[in-house]
Amino acid sequence: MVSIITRTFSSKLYRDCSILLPLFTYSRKRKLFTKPELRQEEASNIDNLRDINPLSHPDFFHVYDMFTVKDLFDARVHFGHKEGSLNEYMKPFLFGSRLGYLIFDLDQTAELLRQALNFTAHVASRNGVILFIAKNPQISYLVETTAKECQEYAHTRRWKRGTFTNATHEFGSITRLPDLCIFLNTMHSVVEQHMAVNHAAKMCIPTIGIVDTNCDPRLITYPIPGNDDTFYSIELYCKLFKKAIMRGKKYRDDILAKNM
Amino acid sequence: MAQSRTDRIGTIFSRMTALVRADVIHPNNLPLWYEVYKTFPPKYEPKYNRKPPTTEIQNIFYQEDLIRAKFQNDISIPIIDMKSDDVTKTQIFYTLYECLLQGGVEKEEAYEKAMISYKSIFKTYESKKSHKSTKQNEP
Repeated sequence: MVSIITRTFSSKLYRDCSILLPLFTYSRKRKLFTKPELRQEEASNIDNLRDINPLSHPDFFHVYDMFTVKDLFDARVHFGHKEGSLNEYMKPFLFGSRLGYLIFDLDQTAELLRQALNFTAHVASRNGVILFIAKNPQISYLVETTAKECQEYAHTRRWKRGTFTNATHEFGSITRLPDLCIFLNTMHSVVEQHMAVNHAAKMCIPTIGIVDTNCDPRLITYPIPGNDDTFYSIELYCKLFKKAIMRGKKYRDDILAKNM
Repeated sequence: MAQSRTDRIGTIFSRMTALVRADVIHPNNLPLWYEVYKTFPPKYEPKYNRKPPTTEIQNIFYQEDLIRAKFQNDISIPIIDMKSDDVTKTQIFYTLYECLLQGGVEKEEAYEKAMISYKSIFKTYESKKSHKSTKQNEP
């Protein structure tokens, strides 16, 4: 059974697509919506990998066709909290309110998530250290496993105050801080924001964060509006970020193998 | 290394750019995300002191809501299992109603006819609410 919300979403989606179809040409500043992008052959060809600068291509790692809006919908990304806990900075990302429950606009979520995945893949390809952060105990095992699988780092325990800001003292020697923080949940408790959001901004570390309707998206560099409480949606985010990181790393390994 | 910890002023990118401009950081020593950020800047600049957006939240309502509300007021439906993909009783009723409407039957008559055919398919119980108040709530 196709539920009513799907119907509206999909009708909205098709309408958008028909308007945007002529715009689906390669230009860097164009908006990318629900449809996956056409592949460009040269990027997948290993022979001329060295000739292309990854940054010159709008979607070098093919992150735009990694998921569809239907996938997001099936993973329940569109569910927000109730109106009472709304952070006013989250208003532009919302589709509406259904009997007091806020619903995200998945077209916007998809666009922002693709941007974030692209950034992740680029940082991974440049040998960046990526740190997954989630305080929520329900998802900490999943997050840690994801980090392990893509050979990156995770922090899912209590956050000590100096972990970023006083790292040399905290770890006993000069420490390399991560180059990118991915927050699967930006909240520390029901009302408090995770301290690492502030501290990453202080240390000039870019952040990617899943922001629910009760979170503050201002200090997150690449906020992704979406449900951060459901296990299925967290699973989807983890899968996507892992894939993006693996693609970045694969490109780096190919380049290294070619230079040998 | 020189750094700026003023997390609420500008963005990480603008602070880094300012450090380069002030000659405290050599352009070769920039963090590795800098070039990526420059090429793919985020859609919303992550500034702390931005103005709150003034967009209004619209309510999501559908045409069907009126009939659904009326139906659920009249008849108590069993508990819905959210995990199963089965069609709900309300949806079955609405399909019946819609079929009748398309056949050219008037709205109230269609509702009653749909109710009769629904009752012939499923065992029904009177809603407890309908005893207390005869007024029907508008959604």
